[in-house]
Amino acid sequence: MDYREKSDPELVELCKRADERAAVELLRRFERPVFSLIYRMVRDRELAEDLAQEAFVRAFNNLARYDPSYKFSSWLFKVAYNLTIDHLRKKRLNTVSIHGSPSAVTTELQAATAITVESTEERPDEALQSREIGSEIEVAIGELRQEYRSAIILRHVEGRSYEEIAEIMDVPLGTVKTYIHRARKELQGQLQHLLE
Amino acid sequence: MRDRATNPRRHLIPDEVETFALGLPARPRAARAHLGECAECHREVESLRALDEALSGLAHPAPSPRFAEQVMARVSLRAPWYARAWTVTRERWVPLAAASLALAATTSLMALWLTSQPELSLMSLSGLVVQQIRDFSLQVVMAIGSLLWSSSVLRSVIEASERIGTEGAILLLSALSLVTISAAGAMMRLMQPAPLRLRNAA
Ligand SMILES: [Zn+2]
Repeated sequence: MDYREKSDPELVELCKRADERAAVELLRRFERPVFSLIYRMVRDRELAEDLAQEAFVRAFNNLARYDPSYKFSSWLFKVAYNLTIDHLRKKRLNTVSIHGSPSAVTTELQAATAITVESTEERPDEALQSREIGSEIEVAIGELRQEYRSAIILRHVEGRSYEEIAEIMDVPLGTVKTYIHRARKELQGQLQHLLE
Repeated sequence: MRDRATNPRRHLIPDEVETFALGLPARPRAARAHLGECAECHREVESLRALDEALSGLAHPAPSPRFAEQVMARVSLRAPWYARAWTVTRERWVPLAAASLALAATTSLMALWLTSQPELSLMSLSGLVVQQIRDFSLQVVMAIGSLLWSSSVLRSVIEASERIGTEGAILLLSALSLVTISAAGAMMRLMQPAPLRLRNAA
């Protein structure tokens, strides 16, 4: 049985019958998107890895609660998103209580810049350029408000529909549109020289 | 509203800008006509197209190579009982088929033997079984009754009911049945898995 040719719903069904190879295939499909969403949200590799691990473990151990009328990937993103938001909220509370100001969070955001881009078959100078452009975009994304950042990543990096993003972020459709619209305006302003 | 929707002179709304920038299917004719004439809207579409290209080209960083292994070490997939039974049936169908055949053969032989005994009709046999069950249940009830009586539990219950009177007993019974019904309801709700909501109410 070739698991790579199976659809997501088929793999989920196999997982529900305790087929571990199906779970491994789902992991192979979604580990990068889930990890990179969390990584871009928290901008800390180790923490992102812990949160992504927790998201997959919860998703697999709670498959009985998964409603198959939604896409499995949306559900998985929702679990990952909620975990990450909860973590960030708790961390912000801690930061405020220790330092008395939420501004400490932004210095960390300023410091965190490079999500390294693996170059494929570009020439070295092109690879360097694309990495720099990549990292400049990453910095601009990192400076967005958390809600804008998550929404724009889900829309333009992950290619999710507005309806799916509303489901993942648990906000109304109109709110998603507002987040994305504002995030675009901010990014277009910051990256004007790159986008022309 | 209809006037707005068909008027080729108005600027594109954000949804339309996105439709053209991302090359999505539904591109209304009036909006397309406007886009051909309006430099401002054209610029907006191109700017969003460039942003989308830049963002969709971003890498998906990979977690560490042991990520999947670490996840699987903490995952316990559990199949429902009927699925497990089906798996067992598929994997060990030879011994299972042999066992079912043996059971079927034994039952048929017993049935044949019974019908071949004229003095042991099926009716008298079932009568005997019912008699046995009745005797046994009667013994059990009597044993429980004497136990309750001797341990004075029953006595105190009867004394209590005499003290509270008929109305009190009816009230007590209604309260008891109310508790039973709500407990059954709670059990039913517990048995239906709720959709997963990890997020705190905020
Ligand atoms: Zn226009």
